[in-house]
Amino acid sequence: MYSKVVVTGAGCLSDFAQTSSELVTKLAQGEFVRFQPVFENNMLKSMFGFEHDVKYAPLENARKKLLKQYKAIKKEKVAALVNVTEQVLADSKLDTSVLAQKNTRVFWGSPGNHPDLLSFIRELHSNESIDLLFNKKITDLHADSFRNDTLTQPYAEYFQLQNPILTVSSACSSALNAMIPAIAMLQSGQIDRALVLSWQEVSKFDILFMSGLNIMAKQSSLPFSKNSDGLMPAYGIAGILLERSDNIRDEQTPHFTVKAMSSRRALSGSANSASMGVSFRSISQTMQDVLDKAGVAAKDVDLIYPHGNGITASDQSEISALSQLFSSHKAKIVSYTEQTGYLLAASGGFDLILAKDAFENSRIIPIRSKGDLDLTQDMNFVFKECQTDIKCLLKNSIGIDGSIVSCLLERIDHA
Amino acid sequence: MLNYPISISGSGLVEGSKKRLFVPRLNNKYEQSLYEKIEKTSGIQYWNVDQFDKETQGRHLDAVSQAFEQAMKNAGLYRKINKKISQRIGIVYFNMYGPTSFMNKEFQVKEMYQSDVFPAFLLNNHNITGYSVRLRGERNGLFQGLELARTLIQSGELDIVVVGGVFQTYSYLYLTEMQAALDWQVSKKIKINKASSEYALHESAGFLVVEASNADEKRQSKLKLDINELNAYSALKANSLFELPSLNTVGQESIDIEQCYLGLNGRDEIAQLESMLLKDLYPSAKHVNTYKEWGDFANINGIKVLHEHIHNEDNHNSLLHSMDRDGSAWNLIFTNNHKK
Repeated sequence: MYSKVVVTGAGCLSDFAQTSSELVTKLAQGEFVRFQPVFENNMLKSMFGFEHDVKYAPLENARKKLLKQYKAIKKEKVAALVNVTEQVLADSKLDTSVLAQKNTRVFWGSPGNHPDLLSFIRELHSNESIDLLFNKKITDLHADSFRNDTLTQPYAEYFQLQNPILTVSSACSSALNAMIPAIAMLQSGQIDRALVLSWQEVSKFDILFMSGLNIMAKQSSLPFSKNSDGLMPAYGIAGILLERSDNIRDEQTPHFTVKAMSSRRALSGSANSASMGVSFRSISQTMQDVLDKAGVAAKDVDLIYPHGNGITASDQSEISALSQLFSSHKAKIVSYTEQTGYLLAASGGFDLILAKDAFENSRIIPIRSKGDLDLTQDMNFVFKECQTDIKCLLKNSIGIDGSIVSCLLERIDHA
Repeated sequence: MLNYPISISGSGLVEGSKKRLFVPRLNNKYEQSLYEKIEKTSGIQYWNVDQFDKETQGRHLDAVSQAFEQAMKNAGLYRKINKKISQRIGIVYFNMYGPTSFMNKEFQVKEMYQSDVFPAFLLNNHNITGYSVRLRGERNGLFQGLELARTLIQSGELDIVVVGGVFQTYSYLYLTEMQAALDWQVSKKIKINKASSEYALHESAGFLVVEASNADEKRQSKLKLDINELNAYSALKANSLFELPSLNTVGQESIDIEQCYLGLNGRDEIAQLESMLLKDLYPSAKHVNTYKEWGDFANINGIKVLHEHIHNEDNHNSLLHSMDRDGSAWNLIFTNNHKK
């Protein structure tokens, strides 16, 4: 008999919210994240070949502030990860020293470290002394700016981790895919606690890549609207602590278990092309798999957090899949991407924080949009806050690499 | 979860064959300054780099494809998988430095996708639809990948995991990598030996097919490498690498190890230290410095060892040890167990 795995703590950091409670409060109040232009001026914009403005939420100010808070840490990215880790452990009423125990492991759902292209792209293929004189940041063209262990090592040292950090990436489904080995290790008894941090810095590389795929919004990002012209990325970090239910302490009262997870890859149908689009069949198969694994019928799902990234084709696929499985049932649907920004690899992690709130407070914070959500028609989207007991919650994540992950959460009745 | 043993039932390796002596470009002052700096610190003047030959081997993604096909065929899986979509098979893929496609002059979005996000053509070619991820583990990537594969197989999530990746050379990165490795070495109180003026790097792509030990009995594959032990230990607390506690192979003294493979870090001084620490545990074992034997394949070093091992007839126990700057070290004990 497998042990149940529960979420005992959560934390987050983004331009929208710097704690879990702030995230929930701001969403409930109907606030939206403030985006800023990726390029400070037209010269930079044209250097990267952009004709239009692209926007993002880069977490710049918070990261600098955190460096002052954590003086022993010299890297902004590590300071941000440490901050979220401390939030998670405080929420689960544990001291950070538990991370130094052999029975605890840390997982990162993230593409990991990579450099800022802006530092050296002009000098990448040739340069003269005079170029280097004007660009001191050329030294970022260094293995340390690429290697992931320049982040894992200071993080591990800060918390004196006994085990290596496992960093797995599957694009925007990374948060949920990192939970799968974490849960397997917990259920086998190999470990007692798993801290899963999901994060993705929005670098110039990401911007260049997403623009090349034509998925960056030029005007507006409106998930579940036909008027959306792409996504607007946000740098966020989400963290959750997973523990076995037989291992939790008296002071903890977790409200839900991770009942089942299902992960798959959608094939593109062609051996030579990339799987850039995910078919609705693959999404519905993944959701059906997770329901089968959990032994739960579609009619028993109360609430669904779809992926909803603002790319119309992807949102349409997801709506078709949801419609196929849930249109005749009671499941309510809600998405917060437009308010928080698209949190890329961390998007699934942020939704788990909201799931925690939904289970704990028996409420659903409604979806809010600045546009017309025409793709939500005929589906049971929630537009007004409501109080309701949630027994089963389904979360989907989709990655541009063709990965799809579904996660089924179930309420724990303490009575 | 069942704690049954896992095995490697197939392997594929493609090594770069275009020999090149690296010299810093005249129109690149930064590259020149890095070269001079590293020469001063390490004594290395000649960087012998075996790159993928674009004319015969194609680009690095072609090498990835070839190595993957080879591993699948060796494992006797090639035809079987093509017949039906398999959700019971997954891929764990890694390279050395994360996204690097923009380092190539002629890079395109499609290459960025396949190279820096995930080589989805591997999935498409074999109808693989199971849990597949990209891993960031640098020189310890293989060990993390094998541990992930073991976790996924033993939990019942997957039946087969293909673990592997690619190493590409970029002058900026291997020069600065050497500098960072030397800085780390000095910080851990290991003196730099400038005895050799040459360094050999090999671009390569390699994959291993991992499954439960009893899973491939009905297939034609005759190859089998049993994984007897795979564990990691922290080297964070050691101010000096000389303080490392016997490589943490506690409980494994009873296993009769005949060969120890060391030097995956690429530095001779570290290999000597590993050798010294292992001597107490396994006094009669033969020590093989992988760098001296084959040169540096970086994150593919471990796959090179296992690939060479799986194709020979020796049935003795071997140990593979890896130590990287991430503060972790790994032990892998394995044995050939070919079908008769």
